[in-house]
Amino acid sequence: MKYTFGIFCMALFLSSCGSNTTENSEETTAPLNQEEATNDVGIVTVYSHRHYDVDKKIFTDFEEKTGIKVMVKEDKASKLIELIAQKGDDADVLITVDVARLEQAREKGILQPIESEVITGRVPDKFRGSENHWIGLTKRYRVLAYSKERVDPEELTTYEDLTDEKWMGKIAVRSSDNTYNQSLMASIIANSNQDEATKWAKGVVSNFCRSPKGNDRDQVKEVAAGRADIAIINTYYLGKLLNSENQAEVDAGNAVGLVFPNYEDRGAHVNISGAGVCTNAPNKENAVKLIEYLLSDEVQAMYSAANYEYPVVEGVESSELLQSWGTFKEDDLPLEEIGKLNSTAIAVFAASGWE
Amino acid sequence: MLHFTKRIKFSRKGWLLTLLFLLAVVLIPVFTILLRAFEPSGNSWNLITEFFLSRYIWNSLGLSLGVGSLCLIFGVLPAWLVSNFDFPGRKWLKLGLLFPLSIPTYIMAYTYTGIFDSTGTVQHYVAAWFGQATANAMYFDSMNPYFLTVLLAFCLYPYVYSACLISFSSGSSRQLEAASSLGSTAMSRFFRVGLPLAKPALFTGLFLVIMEVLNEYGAVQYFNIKTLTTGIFTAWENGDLNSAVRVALILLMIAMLFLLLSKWLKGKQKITTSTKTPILRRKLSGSKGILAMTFCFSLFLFSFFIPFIQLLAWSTIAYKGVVLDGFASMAGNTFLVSVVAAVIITMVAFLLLFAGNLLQSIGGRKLAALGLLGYSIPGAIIAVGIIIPFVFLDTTFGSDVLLGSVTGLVIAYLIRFLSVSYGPLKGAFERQGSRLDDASLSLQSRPVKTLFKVHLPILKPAFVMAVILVFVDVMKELPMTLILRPMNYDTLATEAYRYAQTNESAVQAAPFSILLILIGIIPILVLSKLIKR
Repeated sequence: MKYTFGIFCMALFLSSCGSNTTENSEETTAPLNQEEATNDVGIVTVYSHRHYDVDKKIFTDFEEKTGIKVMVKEDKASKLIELIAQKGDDADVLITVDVARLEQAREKGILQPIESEVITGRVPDKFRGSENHWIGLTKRYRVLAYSKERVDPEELTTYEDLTDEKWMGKIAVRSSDNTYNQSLMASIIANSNQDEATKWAKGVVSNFCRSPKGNDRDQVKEVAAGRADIAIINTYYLGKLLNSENQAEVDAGNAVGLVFPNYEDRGAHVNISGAGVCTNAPNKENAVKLIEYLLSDEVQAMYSAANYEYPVVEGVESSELLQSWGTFKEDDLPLEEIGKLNSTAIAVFAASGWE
Repeated sequence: MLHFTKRIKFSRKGWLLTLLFLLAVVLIPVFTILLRAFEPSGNSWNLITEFFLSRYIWNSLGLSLGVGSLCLIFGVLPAWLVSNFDFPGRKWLKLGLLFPLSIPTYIMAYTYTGIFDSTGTVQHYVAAWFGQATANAMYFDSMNPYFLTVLLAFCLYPYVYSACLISFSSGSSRQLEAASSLGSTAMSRFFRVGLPLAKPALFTGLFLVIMEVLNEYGAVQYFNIKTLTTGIFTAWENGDLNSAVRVALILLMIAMLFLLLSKWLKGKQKITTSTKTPILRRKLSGSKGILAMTFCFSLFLFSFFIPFIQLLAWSTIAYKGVVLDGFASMAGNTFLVSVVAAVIITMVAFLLLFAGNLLQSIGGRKLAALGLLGYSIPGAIIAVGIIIPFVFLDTTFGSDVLLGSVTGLVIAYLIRFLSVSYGPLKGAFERQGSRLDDASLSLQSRPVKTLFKVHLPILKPAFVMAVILVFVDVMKELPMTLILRPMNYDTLATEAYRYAQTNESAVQAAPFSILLILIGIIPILVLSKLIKR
């Protein structure tokens, strides 16, 4: 009876969207043909926390170029890491955002050192784990977006400036549960110590314009609407606002300027999205091939153009918009240290009352 | 006579085995994961107990009670109105008020904050018509706990509404007629007859609402309200799953408290009605009719129509910026899996209920209730509990039948959503009472026959409602679908989520959300014909 019912409903559905049916059947047969055609070079299985459209496009291009079929499962890093730890016999590559997640994966023992010289040669030391368990794919900076109307950027040159009383009620930022904030905090700790960092966090909290909520775009909107003067955001979110289909969002994006802080001393805090080869990867060779491809000039430029991220490979030009934000100094701290300080950062947030 | 008892004994054994098997399917993953609460934890647990735990608990309780109370108003009142009175638009609103079921809560939250934020629709039009100063003066920060409470109630009140609808429109007519012929007013009929009769159904609906609120993640996290569920994910994302499971255990205990509370509130009353006499709806004329219509229509307007139109408007600007390849196959995946899962889960829930009732003398009902545990823990946590036995079975039998297959996905949905279909069925079963069993059994028919000949026809409305509820729940489900799905397998829900996630707004997710919502409406429209009198 259940089958009859199911078939009935399915029939109903298919008849209701007539022209789509043919598309549908093409959809189901296409992967089969491809699999037959690519039997010899095989597959690569990717577990990814990067959900961007450009990633899909990059995987398709890789399939076309190499014949290697890319099998993807997208979810949050925490869940993917657990799945690989429990099963782990089919995952080849783990891709995620934020270095703390990559370090977590390494600590869980689900990543193996990458031995490709192509890869290690293209990624600067500080954007790789010390034993190459993971490597960076793209860079993103956590910076200060200030109101062009109300703030003189000369007054705002460092993260430490944020604790100044003159910004009382003027700072907009998201929750401390957010991993980008945690990594920023880890970099503050690494560059000073836990006590100093707690003092800094308390200082910033006392300057909040509202209790933290929303996402990075919402913080820029607070500044644009005049309810805050400074927002702490990742660079690519401004790119997204400036390229929005909604004119009001574009205006909001144009209302702010960016400070890449600490340009006179240690440089701006930089984070990565990155990849690693899984410990039991059944298609290790293909996994390495894929990561090499992700580091090619072509793909690095695609990341930058489509997703407003900075290429991790030196010498690859970032997109025009990113270049318009100017050149700046970046923090030389190896990212591995930031990843390792994640739980300290969380403790500092908890003690400082940063919601 | 001897022959007769022997047959019953035998079939009872069969039912007991069925019951135990179903329980094993549900409970093995639940206990597998809960055991991790007793393993050593990382740093998170100290932080949680030192700084957050009491806040997590109070926020979770506050949100549940707030949304629950609103759902009572949004659910009971319109159900009573559309069942007992005739007013303009009644027939249409009766169905329309179920539509918000198909809007995922995080989409509702993103949509409404998108409407009210400083670059949103309201600000845009107010500024255009009345000037920027008025717009600034009118601005309010929609990202606050009270507004979230209302938004969650918009998404969840249909659980209460649907339960009351069945209850009000079947069975209670005779009592209501009696009351009105004795001269009672509409108000007192509602409080003294309608409400008591609907109590069992109402509390099962309310219980579902509270479970959904307790397990809510996306919207709550966006508003940055720290609840037990956001605490679970924070700990997990910091690499400390064991601490996360400990918080989940506390969440489970709170869920159990709510279950006991709803049992206690339901009381011990046994009302058995099984009349098929249709209710005579009174015509509400003039201002009363307009008032009833305005109330129901406003609820429909805010909980469904406005967000739907906003998503539609966003779709028209967003469709160019998103990848629509495989749109049809996604819709197909979504629909097919939801239909299959909904039918199977409702059948299994019915088996569980029937077996529990039949084995009442040996505590069958209490055993059956254990099968509902899967609804009291966040789906992502259950998913890990499911992965472990799946990996074990797959390795044992040397196949990949379960993990990363659609079959596995349906089993996962079963473990999680059994409760959703069990609720309405149980409500109807309780009102109908067990005297039918006695009558049928004494006529020497076997329990299976009783099931098909006696229960199913009477339970039809509840059955249909159960299928609808599970369908939309499966259709919207994310945490389990994402992790347990086959490779390269997308549904509308996962794709909407992907866009909402990467952009942290509902704009690009809109085309997918719209199609998702429309698919969710199909069973409501099609199946409701089956319960039409």
